[in-house]
Amino acid sequence: MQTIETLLPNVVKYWDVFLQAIIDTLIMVSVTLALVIIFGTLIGIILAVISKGHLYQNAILNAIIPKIVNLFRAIPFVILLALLLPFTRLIVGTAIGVPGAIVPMVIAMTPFVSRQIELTLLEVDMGVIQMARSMGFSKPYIVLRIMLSEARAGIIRSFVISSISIVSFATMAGVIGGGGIGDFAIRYGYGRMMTDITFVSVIVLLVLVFSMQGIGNFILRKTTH
Amino acid sequence: MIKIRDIYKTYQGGSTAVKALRGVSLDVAKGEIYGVIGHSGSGKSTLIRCINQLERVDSGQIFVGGNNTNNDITKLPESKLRRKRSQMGMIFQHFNLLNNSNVYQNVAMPLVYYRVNKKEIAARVKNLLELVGLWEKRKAYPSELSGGQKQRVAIARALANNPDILLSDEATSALDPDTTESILALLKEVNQKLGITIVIIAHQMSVIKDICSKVAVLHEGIIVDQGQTVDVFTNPTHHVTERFANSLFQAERLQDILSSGHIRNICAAGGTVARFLFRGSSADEALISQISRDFNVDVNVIFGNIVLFGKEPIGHLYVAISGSDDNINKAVAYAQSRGVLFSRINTNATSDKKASLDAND
Repeated sequence: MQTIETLLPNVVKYWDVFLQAIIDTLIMVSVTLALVIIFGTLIGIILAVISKGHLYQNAILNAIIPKIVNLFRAIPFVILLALLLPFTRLIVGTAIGVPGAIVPMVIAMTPFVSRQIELTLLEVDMGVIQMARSMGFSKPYIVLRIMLSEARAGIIRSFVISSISIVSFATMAGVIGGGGIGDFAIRYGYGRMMTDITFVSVIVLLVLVFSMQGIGNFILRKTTH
Repeated sequence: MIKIRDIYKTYQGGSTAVKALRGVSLDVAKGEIYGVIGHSGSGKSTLIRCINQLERVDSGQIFVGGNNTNNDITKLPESKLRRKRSQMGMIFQHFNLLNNSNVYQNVAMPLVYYRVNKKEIAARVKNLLELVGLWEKRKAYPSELSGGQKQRVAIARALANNPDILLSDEATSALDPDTTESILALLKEVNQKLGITIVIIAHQMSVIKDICSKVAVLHEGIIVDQGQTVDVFTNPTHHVTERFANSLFQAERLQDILSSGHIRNICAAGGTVARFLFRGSSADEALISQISRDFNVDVNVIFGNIVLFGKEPIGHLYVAISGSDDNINKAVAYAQSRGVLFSRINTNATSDKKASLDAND
């Protein structure tokens, strides 16, 4: 105990704040990830099936939706944070703290994930889709039970990649009042020159990223062939 | 079973329109194995996809399982069409198995969709996998199977719903010759054991001659020849059919042989080069030695072969006949009276490297 205090004096001193920061980050990351998975998959499916020659091909929607998605992908996250302030206030009542960070994070990540889901879904062989149609399967069933199932490796992989981006976004969001490890590391580690805090924050973030990667790979191994 | 009437299908591709089908009509009787052969781009894949309406037609009618308008699948709404599709199995060139599902799950897939109860699914899948000889592989994933095994799984899956019709879209094109043969044997077994009508699309003559009792030759969206397989290819009326027949009888090699010195000499001496086609009973007679003896002509065999159409052997013989014109004509008349198809080869044209068959039979 004594050695920890000598090596990392500030970490011990601000332990309570640090713990709260970790919890905040975990909440931001997990809630954002959950919402991004839902919205990203939904929009990804829509993007895939309205494309030319696909199950619900629709030239008009296919001219509009991908453009909107690209628009949001083009805006840098830090700018998006500022740009979305009024919208965030409208949705969650505040633009700061954990809830205030989640809204822009979801909006920043969803286009990214939906594009990746779209790509993996489009990789599902049209022959397989034709086969399912030739058996008289309904289109919703083909999308939900055949396409998602066949594309699941790519989908899980894109979730893993996005969860890592989300950790990075959560750190950035912390800086503009979101709280979390990023905020803690900047305010104490950088602002007050407490190098040990920066160091331990980095370790915690790395552990978080690697464990998510590990969980992702585990799920991947269990579900695909 | 299937009655196609005057269907048209055009693909709009930007500024150019591709006319895939231009007024195709054909009839497939119950229990038949019907082949459609054509080169790539002939429209044959479009044709088979029209039968289960994976492709909608521009005009025309397709009756499946009856002649009344309820069975015209070009007019059915989506929900009824899906029911109709479930009565038609389909197999593909690239198998189209679900890679994340094992053999058992792949075969069970249509049964799961139609909410068959679990016990029945288990029994049916076992039956089907035993039929195709892959019950031991039920837990394997497609990546662990050979091409032939994958197609067997696909066939089992296509049969899961007890369809009346099986559509085969180039099902053996990605397979080696031995595997092709075993898959064709399986299709024949399915046809005979279960009484399923099969429509086969192929570009390989071997597929058609081995198992199809009837055939249609498709060229540029039009059926140029159709009928009993043996009749169509022993007596082609269109040059595309003739090319397919020639590839089967290896007739393209005739050219080289005709230009050999000995044959040239016979031709120069007023001899006739001709093709004899023997089928059925005519194949059993010693015709060559008989006409040689009885009509005082010399018959010089150039080359020949025997091709099996299903179980029927078709003998194919190129000969050079020399003798007096009168005797040659009598010999030919006799051969024709014995049921042998005769066609004279125009050797004058060989100088322009174009031997063609006279249609005087």
